[in-house]
Amino acid sequence: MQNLIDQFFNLSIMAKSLPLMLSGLWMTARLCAAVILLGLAGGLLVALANLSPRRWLRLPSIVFTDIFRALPPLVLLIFIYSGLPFAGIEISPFAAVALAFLLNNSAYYAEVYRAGILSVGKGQWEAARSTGLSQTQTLISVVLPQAIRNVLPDLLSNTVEVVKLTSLASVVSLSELLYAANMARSITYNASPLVLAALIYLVILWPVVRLVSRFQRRLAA
Amino acid sequence: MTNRPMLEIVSLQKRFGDTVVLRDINLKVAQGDLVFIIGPSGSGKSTMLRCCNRLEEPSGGDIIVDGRNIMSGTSRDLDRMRLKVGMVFQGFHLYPHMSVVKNVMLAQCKALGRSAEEARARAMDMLDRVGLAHKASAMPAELSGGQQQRVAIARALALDPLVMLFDEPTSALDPELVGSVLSVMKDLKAKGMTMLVVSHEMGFARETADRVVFMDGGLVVEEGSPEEIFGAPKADRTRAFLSRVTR
Repeated sequence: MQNLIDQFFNLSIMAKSLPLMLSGLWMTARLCAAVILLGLAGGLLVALANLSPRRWLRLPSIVFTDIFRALPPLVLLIFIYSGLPFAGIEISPFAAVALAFLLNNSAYYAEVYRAGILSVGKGQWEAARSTGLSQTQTLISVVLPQAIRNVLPDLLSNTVEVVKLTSLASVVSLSELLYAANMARSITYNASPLVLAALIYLVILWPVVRLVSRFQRRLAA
Repeated sequence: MTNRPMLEIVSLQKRFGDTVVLRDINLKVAQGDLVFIIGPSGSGKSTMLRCCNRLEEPSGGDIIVDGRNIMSGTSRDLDRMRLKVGMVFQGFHLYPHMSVVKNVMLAQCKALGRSAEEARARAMDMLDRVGLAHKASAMPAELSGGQQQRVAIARALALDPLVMLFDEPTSALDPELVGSVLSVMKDLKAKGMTMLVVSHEMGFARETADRVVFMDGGLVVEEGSPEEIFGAPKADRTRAFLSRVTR
C-alpha cells in the first residue's frame, strides 16, 4: 500500500515537479487560447460560407468540414509536423500543433454554428429584414445571439474536446502539460507527475463538463 | 379615392417553380386608405402582401411605393425602402433575446441611424400608443400573444412607415386577445395610416375598411366598398366564399 502511494501519490515528488508542470500548463493554456479563439472565429466563417446561397462559397466549405472532421487529428498533426518538411516547409512544433488542431476544430465549430443558425426561425430573419436591417445587421443583432445561445452546450463541449486534444501535442515534443509530466516521470522515475497532470486536467475540465450538463437540462426544459 | 396612391401593385406575378401563385395582380392603395384583402387559403393573398416589401421576390410586375418603383435599385435601396413599408406578421416574430423596448429600438438605431436616446424616446411613445409602455422592460416571452403583436406593431411604427402591411395579424391569437390588436389597428387608421390588411376578421373589415378586395386563384376577382362586397357581391366565387366564412 505504502509502495502504491509512493509510486502514484508521492507528494514530495509532485511538489518537486511542480515548476516543470506549471510551465507545461502555461504552454497548454497558450495552445488552447490560440486554437479556441481562432477556431471560434474560423468556424463561424466556415459556417456562414456553408449557409451561403452562393455555390462557390458553399462547396469549399462543405469540402473543408467533411475532410477535417473525417481526418484523425493525430494524423493531421504528424503530417504537418513531419510530412511538410519534405516539401521544404519547416514549421515550429507550436505552429504545427496550432494549425492541425485549428483545422480540425474550426470544422467542428462550424457544424455547431450551422446547427445554431438553422435553429433560428425564418420569421426572425423576415421581421428584421422588413424593418430595413441588412443581411449582415440581421445576422449580428438578431440571429447570431439566438443561435449561439441555442448551441452553447455544444460549443462548450467542443471546447472541452480542444483542451483534451492539446495533450496530443506531446508526440511532437511540444512541452505542454502531458509532455512536462512525462518528462518529470522519467527524471524522477516515479508516476506521481502523471497523476498530477491527470488531476490538473480534471480540475479544469470537470466544472466545464458540469456546466454543459446544466445548460443542456435548462435548454431542454 | 381622393388621395394619391401610396402603394401601387402593377401586373404582379409570382411563380414558385411551375406553380403560379399570383397571375396578374393590379391594386392601388390611396394615402390614408385601409384596403382589406380576403380570399380562400391558397388564393395568394399572403404572397401578394409579402411581395410588397420583397420578402417574396416577384416573378414579374412592379411595386410602387410613394411614386418610387421598388423593383429597381440596389440592395441598399431595398433596405431603405423597407423602412417605409412596415410589416406585421401572423407569428409576431419579436426578438426573444431583447426586452420589449430594445425590440422597438433596434432598427431605429441600426437602419435609421437614430441615437439610443432618440430611439428610446420614440420607442416609449409608440409603446404608449399601443398601450404597453408599462411593459417596456419585459421580455417578449412574458407577454401574451396580443401584447406581443402590439409590440410588433410599435416596432414597425417607430420607423415612421408610409404604409403598413398586416399579414393575418390576429390569426394566431386566442379569441379574447383579438380585440386589443384590432383596436390598435383602428386607431392607426383613424390617425391616417395607409394600410393593406390580409385577415379573416370580416367584422373589422365591414367597420373599418375603405375597400375590400376578394382574391382567388392568384387574381383579384372583385373589389369594392365593404357594403358592395359583403352586401351585394357580384362574382359567384365571392358569394360562395362569403357564404362559407360568414355562415
